[in-house]
Amino acid sequence: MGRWRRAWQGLTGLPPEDERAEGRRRAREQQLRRLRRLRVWRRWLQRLRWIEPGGLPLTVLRWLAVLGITLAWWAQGAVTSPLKGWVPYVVIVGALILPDVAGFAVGGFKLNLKQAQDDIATLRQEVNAQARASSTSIVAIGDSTFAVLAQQIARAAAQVSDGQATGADTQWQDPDAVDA
Amino acid sequence: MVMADIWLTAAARSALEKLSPGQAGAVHAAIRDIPSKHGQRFNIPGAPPAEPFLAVEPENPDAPVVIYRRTTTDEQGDWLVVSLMNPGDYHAVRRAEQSLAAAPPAIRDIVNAVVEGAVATVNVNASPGTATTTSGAAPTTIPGIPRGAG
Repeated sequence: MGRWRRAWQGLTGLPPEDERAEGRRRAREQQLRRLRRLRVWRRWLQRLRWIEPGGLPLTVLRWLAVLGITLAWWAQGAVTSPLKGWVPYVVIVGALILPDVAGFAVGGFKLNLKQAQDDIATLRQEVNAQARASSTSIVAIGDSTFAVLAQQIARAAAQVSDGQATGADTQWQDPDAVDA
Repeated sequence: MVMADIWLTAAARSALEKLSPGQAGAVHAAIRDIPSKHGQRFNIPGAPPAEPFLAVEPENPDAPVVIYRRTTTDEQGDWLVVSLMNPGDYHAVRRAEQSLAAAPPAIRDIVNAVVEGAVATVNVNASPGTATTTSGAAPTTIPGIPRGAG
């Protein structure tokens, strides 16, 4: 129905009241297209979120980008004399290879990034261990823990409760009285 | 002499039957003394509010400790032997109680909550079609769903 209508309107032209409707339809279609594009980008970004910065796919991409930039600089004539001919390339390349740099030294200043990362990891482990120790020390005094005490009492209480739940079953007979 | 009306739970009777003659004799002697001797109060959850658990240690140190209490108005007899407890477990609980007595009230509250949580049990096997719940008080038997229902 819509196709025939559109064909007829293509021959005769749009009636004036439908021009506004057509405009609205186009705007809606544009908006839908924009939303679809946005959804595609969002999905792509969500997929990227799972990629580790130091992981293999991004590392390969980064080094490919470095290679590409170097080739671009070389293709432009490997300019070295004005600073603006090579500094932007160096800055971009430096930023790209930064995650793979273990450290750098300028004069007396030396920054060992790998060492810093290891130190942070060690520190984090120590903090976690201390947090665990403090949480258990709440219930530990001397050589006995309240957790163990609670367990002992609970076990006894459960035994007695279980016995009680079986209900009065037999009247006790004194064996000595029976023998007599 | 009028014999006191002492009853045993099924669990206590079963435990008593499994004892060696020496241990059983000591337990019987302890039970015989229940009306005349007041046992030590045994503060663990599960007893009816008005009838706390009591404990009496037989003279034979290897024999189990008798845990008993006075009967409630809807139970038969005067005394009910609830359970026979391994002496090691009994003394561990006594030591635990002493340790907790010196602990801060907040810690005691935590331990009590843990113990009461452990005792809140549902014994579905009390009798067919019923469930007996015990939670820091006298056991309450509630009618269960008839078998085959649903």
